[in-house]
Amino acid sequence: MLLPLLALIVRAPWSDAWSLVSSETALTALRVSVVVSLLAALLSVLLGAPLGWILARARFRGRSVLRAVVILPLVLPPVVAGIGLLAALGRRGLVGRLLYEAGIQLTFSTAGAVVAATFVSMPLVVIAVEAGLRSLDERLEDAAATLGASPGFRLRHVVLPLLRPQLVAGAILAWARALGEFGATITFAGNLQGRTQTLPLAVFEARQTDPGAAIVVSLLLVALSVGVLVAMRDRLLAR
Amino acid sequence: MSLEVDVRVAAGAFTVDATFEAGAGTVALLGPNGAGKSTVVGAIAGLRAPERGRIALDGRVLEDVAGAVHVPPQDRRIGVVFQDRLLFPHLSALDNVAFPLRAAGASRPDARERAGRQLARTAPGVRPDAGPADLSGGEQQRVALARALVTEPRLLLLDEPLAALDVAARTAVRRILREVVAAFEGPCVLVTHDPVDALTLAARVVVVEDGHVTQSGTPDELRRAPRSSYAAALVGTNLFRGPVEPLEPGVGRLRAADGEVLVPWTGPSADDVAALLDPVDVALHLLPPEGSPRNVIEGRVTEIVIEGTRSRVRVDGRPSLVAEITPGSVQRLGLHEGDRVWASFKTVEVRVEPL
Amino acid sequence: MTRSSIAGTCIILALTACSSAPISGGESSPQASELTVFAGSSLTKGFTELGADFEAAHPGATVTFNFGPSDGLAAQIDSEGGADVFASASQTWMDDVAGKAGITGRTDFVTNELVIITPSDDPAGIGSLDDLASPGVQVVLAAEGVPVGDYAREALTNAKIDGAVLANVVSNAEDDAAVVATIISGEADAGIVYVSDVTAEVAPGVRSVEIPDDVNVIATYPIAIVDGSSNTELAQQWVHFVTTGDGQTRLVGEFGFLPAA
Repeated sequence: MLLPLLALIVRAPWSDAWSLVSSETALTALRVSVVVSLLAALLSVLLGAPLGWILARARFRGRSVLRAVVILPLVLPPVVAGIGLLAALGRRGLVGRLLYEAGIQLTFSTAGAVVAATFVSMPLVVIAVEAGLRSLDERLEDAAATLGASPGFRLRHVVLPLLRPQLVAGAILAWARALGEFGATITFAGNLQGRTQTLPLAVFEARQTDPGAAIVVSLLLVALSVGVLVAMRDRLLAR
Repeated sequence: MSLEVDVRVAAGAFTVDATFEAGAGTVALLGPNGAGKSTVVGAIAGLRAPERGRIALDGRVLEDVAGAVHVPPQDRRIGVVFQDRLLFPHLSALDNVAFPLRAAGASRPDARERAGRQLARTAPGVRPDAGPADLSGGEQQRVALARALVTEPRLLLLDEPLAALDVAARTAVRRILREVVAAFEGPCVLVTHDPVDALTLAARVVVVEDGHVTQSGTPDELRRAPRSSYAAALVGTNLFRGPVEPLEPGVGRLRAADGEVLVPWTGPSADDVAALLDPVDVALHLLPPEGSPRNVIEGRVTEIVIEGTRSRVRVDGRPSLVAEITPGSVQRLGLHEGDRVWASFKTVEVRVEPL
Repeated sequence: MTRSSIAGTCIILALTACSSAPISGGESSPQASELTVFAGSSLTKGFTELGADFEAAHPGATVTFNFGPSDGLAAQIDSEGGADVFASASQTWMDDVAGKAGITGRTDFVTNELVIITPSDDPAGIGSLDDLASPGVQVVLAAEGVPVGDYAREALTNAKIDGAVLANVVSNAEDDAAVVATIISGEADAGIVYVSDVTAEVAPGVRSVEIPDDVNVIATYPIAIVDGSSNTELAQQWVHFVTTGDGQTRLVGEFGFLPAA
């Protein structure tokens, strides 16, 4: 696990590192990455948590099919996810056509990069929330109801507080997945500096022209990920 | 102030039919584990939809399947205490008690202040900032009781509140429970499988077996004429209650209101204990018996009830008790109401429960 | 345990199959040999078909291709090796390999030129190169550093419309194949690729717009044998085949390339 990381550190052109990291390309990609991954994590939680709730609590036919569909982006090759998104939300896509007529184009836009990253990272939130709800004693909600708590009050004061570790874990995993997302993004949202070029895309492009820069930007990506994951470790594990 | 219940509730594969009423005072739903008691509690609390029937509290219809009425649990104003407490693990003892007040719209300081007072009354000695995990089972049950009482519900539902506790905790919680139940103005439904709880806490007992109410009445009515072997074995038990003092090693003298009995007792004197004696273990004699029985009570036969293979004979003496013998024995002894008899039983047959 | 041992057995079987393949091949044909060709992605279609011709003409020979952006291939050869022959879409990356991994027998074998492609319904109404500079036209180019991307920028500079067109670029695709895919899907209005990219399969899905000769860039494709090749003889035969032989005929006649100067 550590070997590629060590190799990156050894191979990095440290003398130029600062100028490479502070280059406009790297900083712009960093900004796009931070914006895209945070928005994707937020969207993943907002959409994934209700889906997890439906999967854990609602009883209906085809629930296992829904679960499979929801989790599919996790196992799909990201390029396939990107092609699927194009077919659905591209300006000639099933839904995208209508959006385009309404003046909204997701492809080649930052919003598109967020959509691509959300698509592949949301399943992580769904899984975390569903597992959390399954381990949560439903009778605590019953008890809350007998104590006069409305469904909304139960959600805010019982379910969400008890689900917080899973929500935090799901959000961090989704964020990490979104930060590293490449295939679906380049396929669906393209690669344009300042708009859709995230750090992984910048690494890929720099690899072709300036391998040293690619390594330094890779390390920037690693540092960002490790930094946040370490900072979050206690919240991840704390109940 | 009354609760009317007449429902059929499905619980998995089997259904429970329950019909009973409760006025002010405590009604015990007594039955073996798995008889469907908790299912009925769920229906009354609004957590389970009945298949048919009606539930009304103080004249307000909470549930009417035919009329499509279903008041959701949060609007029923019923305080429920669950066997496993179900305290909120993320809230302190104080905030658990404040929870229903907050849900009703009270401000946080106001809710905490009222919760603090309720906690001090019902669960003295429990640190308000302690988490549920830091509390013993008995302390948790008291906090749960405080939480159920703090909003002054119209009905109190106690679902096996003592079952998950060890003997020492059970005694302590039972004492609190008795105070709470005595002070509670509305109806109180106590679900239990333990006749001691039913007979010491409830004014009326509803026996539930295999999804049906098999009998209901005062403890004394049930004792005299139990209609099932379960009722006979549990509710039909003789209960002596009062202070006990040590007499000799292993034996104590219990002074009940209407007489004295010798019971197994090892500890120091106690103010209030319940002693249970199965009527099957009581022998009847036409002359004073000789030999080992330490407890011999002279009295007069006031009632003979024959139900199938059982005859229950009530003997008025000091104290009064019920003996269960076969109809053949009744014939052989030539017993009639009004006859003078001697009832005897061994000390070791008595089961003592501190209250 | 059973599952992992099954997996292990499968891996062992797979390895055995791999290692035994040349042996069984050797029994049927004494000249069995393998050739690995790294080639720029614009050569994908042509080389794949030529590979079959070559194998037919050289019994026992197997040609394996690794197509990709020439810059990426050069980086792979420089760091990992593995190529017998390198065919690049630009001199730059052949120079790069020449300077690092080392090559022999370098020769130019075809040339290529640029063309504008649009979706077949041409949503932005592109009639000439200058139209790419119109406001709101969504243009896709290959990224900088990728030969076709660099050539396209060169052509735009020649036409003195680079500033306006680059402002219209919505994505820098990884290579010409990605540009073609984006245009076929209709997601962008126009792209610049090689003439040779508009193959018989691609042609129905796109519309081509010529770039005037005075601004167009002619890409010259060099090919060479990479030092350390395990099969120089066969590698020489492949280079000959595509430079002067039947391969050259088909590249120029069928796949849209132009002969080397």
